[in-house]
Amino acid sequence: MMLSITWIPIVALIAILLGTLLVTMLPRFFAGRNYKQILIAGITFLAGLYYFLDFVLPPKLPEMLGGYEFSKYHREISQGVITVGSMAFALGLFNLLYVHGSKIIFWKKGAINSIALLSSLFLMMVFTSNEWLAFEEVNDKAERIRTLAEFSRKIESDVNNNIATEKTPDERMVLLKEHAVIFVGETQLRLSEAKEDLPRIIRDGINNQSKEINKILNANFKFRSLGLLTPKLMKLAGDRQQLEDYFYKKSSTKKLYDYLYEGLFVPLGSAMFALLGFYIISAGYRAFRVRSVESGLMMIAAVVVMLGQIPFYIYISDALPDIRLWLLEIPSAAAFRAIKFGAAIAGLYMAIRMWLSIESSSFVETKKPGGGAK
Amino acid sequence: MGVEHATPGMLIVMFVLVLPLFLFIKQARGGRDLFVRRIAGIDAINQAVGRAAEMGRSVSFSTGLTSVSPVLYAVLGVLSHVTRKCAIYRNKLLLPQNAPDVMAISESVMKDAYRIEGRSSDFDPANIIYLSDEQFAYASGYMGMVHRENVASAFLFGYFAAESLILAEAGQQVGALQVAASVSPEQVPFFITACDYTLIGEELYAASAYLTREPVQMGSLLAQDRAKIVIFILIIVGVAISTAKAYWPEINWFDINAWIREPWDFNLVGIEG
Repeated sequence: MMLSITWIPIVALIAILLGTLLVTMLPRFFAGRNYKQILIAGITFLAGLYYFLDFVLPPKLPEMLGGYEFSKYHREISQGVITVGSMAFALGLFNLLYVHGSKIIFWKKGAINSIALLSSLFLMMVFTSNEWLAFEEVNDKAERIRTLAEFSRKIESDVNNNIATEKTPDERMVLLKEHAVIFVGETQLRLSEAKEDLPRIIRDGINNQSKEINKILNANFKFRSLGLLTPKLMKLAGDRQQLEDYFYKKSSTKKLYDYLYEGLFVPLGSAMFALLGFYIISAGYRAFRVRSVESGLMMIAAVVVMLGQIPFYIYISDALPDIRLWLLEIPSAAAFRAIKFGAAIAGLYMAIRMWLSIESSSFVETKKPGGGAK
Repeated sequence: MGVEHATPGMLIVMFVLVLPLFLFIKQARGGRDLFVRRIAGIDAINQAVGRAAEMGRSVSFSTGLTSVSPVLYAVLGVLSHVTRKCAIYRNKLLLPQNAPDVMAISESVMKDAYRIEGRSSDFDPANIIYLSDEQFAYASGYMGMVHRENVASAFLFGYFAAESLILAEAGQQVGALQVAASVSPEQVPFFITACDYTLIGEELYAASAYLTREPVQMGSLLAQDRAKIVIFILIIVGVAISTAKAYWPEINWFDINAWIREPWDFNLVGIEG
């Protein structure tokens, strides 16, 4: 037997729930709150309401309710939320400057470390910005050729569809040819700056595309040539991108950035991660000191799992891998799921309390328990 | 499998789970005496702050990699309590931070806690330290801080990942009394081995209620337990149906899974069999 429940009782249920909540909670909500708290709680509620309705309502409302798609602007709204959240990053920067700047100014203990931190921060900011600008330049050079290819395609489609434009097709063709000659010349010049280590595939690609584009342009350049020119320009754009990538990777900007990020920051992170291996040994030593029945059971389970994992189990018992699997998939997985269930329900309740602003009193209370207001 | 929109079945389950929250909060506000079992890890929070006061050393409170989420708000309740205790005993409380937005919220909670205890002048924003948003850079900064400050007590509350053991071991090395609480079961074994007390999963959410005895939180805690009973019953029913299906496949048993996943159907009216 399969039950199909329609939207009518569900929508009614939601409406009753929200209505009851509003009627019973609004007077309590406004009591004893100042305008700032009401404003924050109101914005929190409205923001939460959007996400709640987005999840609860079907992707598209029925036609009799207007057939509205509630999630229509979800992407834009989510991006807006991310943008607002990202503004908080300035707080991190301000905190670093405040904490470490004051240490340096008043020459407190650890000021040398603060100098190292702030100078590293400044260096990374400079090199990352430089690296970002250089990368943008690489894309920009190839993008100009891609735009020209798009222009070529547009001229062709406008002519085919008899679409009137500000400039005549002939004028547009002249512009296209002029720019194509310039870009091909620029690319050839840039190629001549490349050293021998430039991959042959890039060099040959640029030479071939340039030759063929020149051939198309120098021959009787007519509208029918556009069908040939557009793909050649697109290919040239791809090759130009690879050529600029080659120069970019050889630039001092990229090398300095790589030195600081790939050569210093990433290995330091890996070194910290590697510490885990040693810490697991010391933590394991503490865990395996059998002080109670529970720790004894844990040790037995751990030993069985470890023995079942290694290839030498065959010298002990063939059943070890199966016991290991049973321990991991039955008791251990059950415990994991129980923890996750409990945490998920608690998280759901906490989220509702935050959404409806019935939680905030726990950590912004203004009265001391048992005492007067301070 | 994740879902983008709730199905009617999910809405009903959600409604059944959420309803007790409002009922028990109302009861708790009405003065009903609610029992919460003793949780050793939460009792140890006051002990840890007291220990730091006696030794004249600092206390550290890490929210790990917690972002702005329900977990953070559960942690903030405990942070508020610890800060108030530290304000009373005039302990130095260090708050190493991983996310700038979390830092701003935590700072506000700490400032409020000092104000409530009438010790606003003792609040030092320099004790709230933004370390890094990168996991291991944060762990490295935390280790350095714990060693330099020689903390007497360390609290590790929130969401943690692979850096959990590094943080907990740093506290071990300086002999700090450590209380940890994580909702990620993968990190719980590391905390159990390296910390003195560990709160597992939902105990983190219960901590604030246990410490403050605030009616909203107490009611919510009780409702949580009732919701777990609902889930427990659903699991038992599901297991029973699956078992029965295996033995009597010819009978058309009610399929809870299909019912929950059945999408909206605008063409039908009423409940059809």
